[in-house]
Amino acid sequence: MEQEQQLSNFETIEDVQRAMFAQSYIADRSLSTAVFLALKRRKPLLLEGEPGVGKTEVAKVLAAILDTQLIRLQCYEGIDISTAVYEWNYTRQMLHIRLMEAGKINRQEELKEVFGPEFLMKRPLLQAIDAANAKTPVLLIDELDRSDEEFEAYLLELLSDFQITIPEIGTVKAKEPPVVIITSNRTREIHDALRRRCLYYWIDFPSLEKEYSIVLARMPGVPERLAKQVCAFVRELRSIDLYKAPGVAETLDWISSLLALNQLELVEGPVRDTLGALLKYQDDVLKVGGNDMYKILQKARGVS
Amino acid sequence: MSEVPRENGHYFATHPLSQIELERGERLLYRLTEFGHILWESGIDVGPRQILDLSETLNYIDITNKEDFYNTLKSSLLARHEQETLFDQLFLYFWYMRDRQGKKVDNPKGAAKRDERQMRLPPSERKRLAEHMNANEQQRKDLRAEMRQSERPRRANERIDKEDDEDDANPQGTAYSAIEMLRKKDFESFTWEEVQEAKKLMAEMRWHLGMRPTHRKAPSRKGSYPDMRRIVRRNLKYGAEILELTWRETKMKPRPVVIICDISGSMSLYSRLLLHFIHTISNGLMNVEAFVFGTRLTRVTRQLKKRDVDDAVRDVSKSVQDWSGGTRIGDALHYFNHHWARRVLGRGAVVLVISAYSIVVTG
Repeated sequence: MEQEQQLSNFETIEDVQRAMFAQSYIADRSLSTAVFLALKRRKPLLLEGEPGVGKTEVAKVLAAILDTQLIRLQCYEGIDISTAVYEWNYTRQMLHIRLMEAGKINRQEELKEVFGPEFLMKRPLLQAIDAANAKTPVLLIDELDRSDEEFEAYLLELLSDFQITIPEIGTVKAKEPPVVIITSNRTREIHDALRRRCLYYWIDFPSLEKEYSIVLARMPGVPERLAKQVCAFVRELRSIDLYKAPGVAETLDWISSLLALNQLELVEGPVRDTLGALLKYQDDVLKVGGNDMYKILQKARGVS
Repeated sequence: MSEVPRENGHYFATHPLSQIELERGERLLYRLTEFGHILWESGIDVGPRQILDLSETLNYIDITNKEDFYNTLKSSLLARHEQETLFDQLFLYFWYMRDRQGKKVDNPKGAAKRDERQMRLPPSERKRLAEHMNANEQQRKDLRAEMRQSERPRRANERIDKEDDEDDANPQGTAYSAIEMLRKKDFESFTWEEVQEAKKLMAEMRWHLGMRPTHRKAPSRKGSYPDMRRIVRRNLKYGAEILELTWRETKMKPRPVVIICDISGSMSLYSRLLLHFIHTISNGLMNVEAFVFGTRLTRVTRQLKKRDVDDAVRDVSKSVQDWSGGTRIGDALHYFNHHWARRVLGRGAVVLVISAYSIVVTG
């Protein structure tokens, strides 16, 4: 009931945008629309984009806004039902059987008891649709592209009905479908069937102004001059053909490194020393650290 | 990407839908279905299910706000970043420009014509049908003649191009040239005999690019990991005395294959057959990503997924811009490394680079 109350607060797209802003997440109207629809329609929202543009953050912010639990499933190669959905607690089962033996209870009873809910270890997906949840949680399925196709196929089933069948117990069904956010870095193509079931949104690198406001929102104490120059510098870097262009996360990282060195504006020496916070491949560091560096710096300093 | 597409840099003053249209919801559904069809025809994967779903979704937003309308359609119907530009163009065309051009939406004559066109099988299919029905040689000849007839007008245009090429082409067809020549190759010139021969050859081919261990486990007779769930279940009947053990073993899977194929001028003798070859293996069990390059790299995985080899190859030649031009192998591989490597090279992929100089396989 309380959940209903929460969601009804978002009557318009602006409400969502404002709520996200209150959590220091600067969202475009288009992203707010996608989030708004995901909440209203209870459809999974598939977010794609370069690493470090704030995909995972959307789920965290949503959980904070809805004041509910965030259940996170980090995907990796080889993830399977026993790590994502549920697993029986074998040690406890064995011990229990031993105890029962001492008590001489008949076998049929044993079987029933050993595969009962108290021996079940709930993993994220089962937790998310557990009817015992006080509030509908936000389920974050992070980096889905890292999992195998088999897992994706399983997810397909779960995301359409929001129910899980455990042979020994029965079917567990969510009272209300959870809010599902799926992120992907595109190291593998997500299957069309799954895409079709989701709302889709591509988070792009932010514009200069947007990144500036993100920096101010996330790091309230930062000198404006430095923030402006950093954003301009990063923007220039993204236009160069780098192996891995820096994301917003890297921008924020870099600013904190510069602040740690007590910098008030971009100066070549410290910039060179801290470039590692921004660029994560040696090839990129060499490329930027060469002749281009001076040019980019001049441009960035020209902004403020 | 948050912006509504504009024409000549200005937002339109009008709403995408007129007031009357809004009052009649059916009309909107009709327009949406039509839009979905246009998207589908352009290769964006949209089906009726999504349209119905979208019509429900639209209840939650104010559809007179064109920005929200656009954003909603986009996040509901589009599922791939690559197709965003295409979507934007189609959106602009469908919701703003089409009616202005005075094109009537439901033209009964045109609709009838379209139906008729869909009813007829494409030549390649008819060819197959004839084959299936064990047509005699005379019938096949007739069919081939008919196919040639239908292609004649287009050929006539291309002949001029071809003759130009032949004049200055190196007889061995091996000269290196870095000049970017953008042109399309007519791939429909596969003859019947060629297809048959190639088919036979391909069918006999056996490919063993090796298996890779996955991180998943599957039940097996012997293995290195105990299958606890089964152990508990099976041994219950012995009163929890562990008498039977069951195991799980690492699952093996064929390695994915990434093919990067040179289709520049020096390879033109082979490119036709190579595409056939790629088509065959990508329609087998293997997980294949295919790229072709001359002066630029094009991903053709999706085109080659078509079941019919002729349709697939026609689609490839449509999407490839640099057929039989120069080679910039370095640029192409650089582009591949920067834009595709991270997306397709995971999972122990085998890379097959086919170019005029050598064939390189790395694992």
